[in-house]
Amino acid sequence: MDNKKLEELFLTVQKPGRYCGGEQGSVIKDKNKVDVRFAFCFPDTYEVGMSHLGMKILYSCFNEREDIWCERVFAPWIDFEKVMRENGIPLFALESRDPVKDFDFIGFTLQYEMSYTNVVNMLDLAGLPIKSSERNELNNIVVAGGPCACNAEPIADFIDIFFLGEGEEVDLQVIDLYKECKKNGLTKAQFLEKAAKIEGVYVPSLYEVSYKADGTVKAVNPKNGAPKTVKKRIITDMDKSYYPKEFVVPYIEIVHDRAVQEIYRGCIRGCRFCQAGFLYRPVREKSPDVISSQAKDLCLSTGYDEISLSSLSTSDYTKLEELLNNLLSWTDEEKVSLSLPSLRIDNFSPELLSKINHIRKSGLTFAPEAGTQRLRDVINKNITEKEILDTCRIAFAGGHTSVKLYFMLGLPTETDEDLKGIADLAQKIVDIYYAMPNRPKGRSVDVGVSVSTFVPKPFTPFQFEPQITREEIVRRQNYLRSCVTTKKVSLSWHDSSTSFLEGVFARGDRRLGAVIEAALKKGCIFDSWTECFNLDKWLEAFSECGIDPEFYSCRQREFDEVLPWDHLDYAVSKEFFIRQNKLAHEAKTTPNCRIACAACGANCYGEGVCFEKR
Amino acid sequence: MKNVRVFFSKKGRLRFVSHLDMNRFFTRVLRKSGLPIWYTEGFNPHPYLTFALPLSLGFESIYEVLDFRLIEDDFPLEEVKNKLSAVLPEYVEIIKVSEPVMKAGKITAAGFSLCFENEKAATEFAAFLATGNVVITKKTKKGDIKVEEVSEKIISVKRSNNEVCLVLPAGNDNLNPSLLVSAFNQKQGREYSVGYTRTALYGQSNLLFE
Repeated sequence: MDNKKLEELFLTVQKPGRYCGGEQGSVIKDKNKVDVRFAFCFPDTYEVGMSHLGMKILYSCFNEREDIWCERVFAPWIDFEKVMRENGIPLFALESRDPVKDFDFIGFTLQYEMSYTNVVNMLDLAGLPIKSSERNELNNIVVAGGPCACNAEPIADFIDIFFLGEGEEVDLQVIDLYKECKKNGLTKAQFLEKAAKIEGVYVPSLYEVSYKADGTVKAVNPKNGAPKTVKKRIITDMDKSYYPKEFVVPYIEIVHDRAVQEIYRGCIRGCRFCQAGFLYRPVREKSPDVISSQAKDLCLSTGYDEISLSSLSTSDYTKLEELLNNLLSWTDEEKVSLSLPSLRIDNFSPELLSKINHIRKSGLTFAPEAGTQRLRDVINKNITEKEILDTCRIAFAGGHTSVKLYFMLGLPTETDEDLKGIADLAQKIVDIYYAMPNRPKGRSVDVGVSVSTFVPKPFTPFQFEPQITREEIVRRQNYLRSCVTTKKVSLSWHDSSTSFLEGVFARGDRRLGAVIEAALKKGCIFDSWTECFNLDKWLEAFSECGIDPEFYSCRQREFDEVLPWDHLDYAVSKEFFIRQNKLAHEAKTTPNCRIACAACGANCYGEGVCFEKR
Repeated sequence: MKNVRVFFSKKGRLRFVSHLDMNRFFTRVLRKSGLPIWYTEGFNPHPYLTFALPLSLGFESIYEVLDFRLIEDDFPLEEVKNKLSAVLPEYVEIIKVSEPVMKAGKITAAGFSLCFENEKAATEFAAFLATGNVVITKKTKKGDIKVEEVSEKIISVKRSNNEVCLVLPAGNDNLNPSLLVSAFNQKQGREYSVGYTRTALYGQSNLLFE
């Protein structure tokens, strides 16, 4: 593509900074001097994709290797896609501006189900046949990883290889195998068969799925020597794992525009609705000095003045006090501010609050997830009402006048009583504020209540549960709204139809591939963006394919049903999920990994929290 | 405390970066440079940056002006140039570092070079500007459409080969050269491909802004 013409077209669309490339930290290599070109694709906008830590880690990790050049690709926004199609511009990588079609690997990260149409659309925009079975050369290998790879059956027809678990090691092994196969003149089919033998590599075309008369899966049978189950990969020693010294620093403002420092992987909690809490087991921490020195390097190389600690639950880091002291020893001098997302209510000490206050006064957010103790016990969110109220009291005393609370609607066993509990809890927090003798005069309190709709996910104890219907979601939302009687409580929620579709794809099977293709033909892309999402088109697509979406979202699954993801092994056993599901229905909690081992199976790697002294 | 004025060029891929984003970009560049920058003393300390005049998205420039402050009075200006150059991408070149002479508010005009696809287009454009009937249409901040004849406002026009050099009012009363090209396009009934470069800023009595 002629650069001059392309750049003129940039100026005809919104935010050309999304497409221009050339950012500080972006890697330019000589394409004639590398063996493998890898197009790392994020199936959403530049601003969303550039905020994603996994992409930053793998981008740098691949580019460390002299024989690999990894470049970035994002989904062009609707205006630029139109311009590209009109002018015959194929999807291109930001660094070289070469067409994605020139690349050996085209890798997607699957962060949420609602990005599936974008994945397929990007393949189409690249000028490639969208189906794996129609791409026969040992070239343009389409790979995908990320959390949704745990059940990516709905897009299995389009992808050649899924990477299960953490990619730092397994991705490079597959790239090496590709080089070797290429050198020896092997075919794509031969390459895929060899790749399937590497742990963590799932080649969907090597598995045949058969169905029962009732529509459920009968069996998933491997062929051509592929293993019966594919086990996820993890990095066992976090201190020695690769971490970038540099980030690509965007010119335009992105969603999370700051340095990000990972502190540990996994989560000890075992909240029964949370997929991340099971997918990333076992918990593996980095040590405080490694974290502090990596964070400092990043701030100095990027010029960012803010660093955020990343993990699923920051306050569960065992050496948080030591880490904060360590970080605060240089952040002040370097004029870097620290942000600590994902704090839990139950171990939120006044000391911690004063440290955060020292850093920067920002909003306080907590996630009680459910309105009554009974339902919090069902979901194993081990937080009491007293803890929630005490924390708010501490926060108000510390000068905060607003808190934000996250809840879920439609959790298993939820009744109207539980919904009323959400409004009651918010009211109690308002009352605490007005009961404070020394509250700031003339300042009102704002309790934000954000309610999302529960979506049952694979690899959680709730993977067997039905999702409530769209009509019921709306009824419960209306009921909850009627329970809130004060303006001090502001209620907001997610759109019910997006959650419904997410529920369908989260636990879908391969037959949904046809629906994705049909919906894309009708123009469904950027489904996670409210201004683009169109449920009617999706429902048309389902009906054209003769598929009832509620079969996937609203159906109770028996414990002995073969689930579409049963041949994938995330080191947490199905027996464990069944045990946990039964406990949920008895409203019985399970202590976290540090208090007692619940025998989930994640100790098989011989590392992590499973081997800490209790 | 010492005020420093940096003159730089902005080219290539950086012309897709807006004025607001340039501010964030230079904040990070200054942090990385290791210069003894003076920070504001509020809750969120940040370097105090002033750009003399915003540049339109899509324009290149060889005369951008940025002011900031150093905490050391006798810090050598040559060192400022070296330290900034070391951390800047290829799209920015530091042309000169000095102490401010004029105030940014005193800017009255700006010079532009418009590069046309060929000499014929450039000649026709220059002729169009001399017709005495150059009617531009622009959207005001309120969203109204304003139509205006601007021949009087054009300070100078010079053409050589396929390039037209203009001096236009800037600062308080701005005239964006792309509006002139739009008017020309409309008259000719086609879209010309033009590359814009800002070449200079002028203060009172048309003295070069320094």
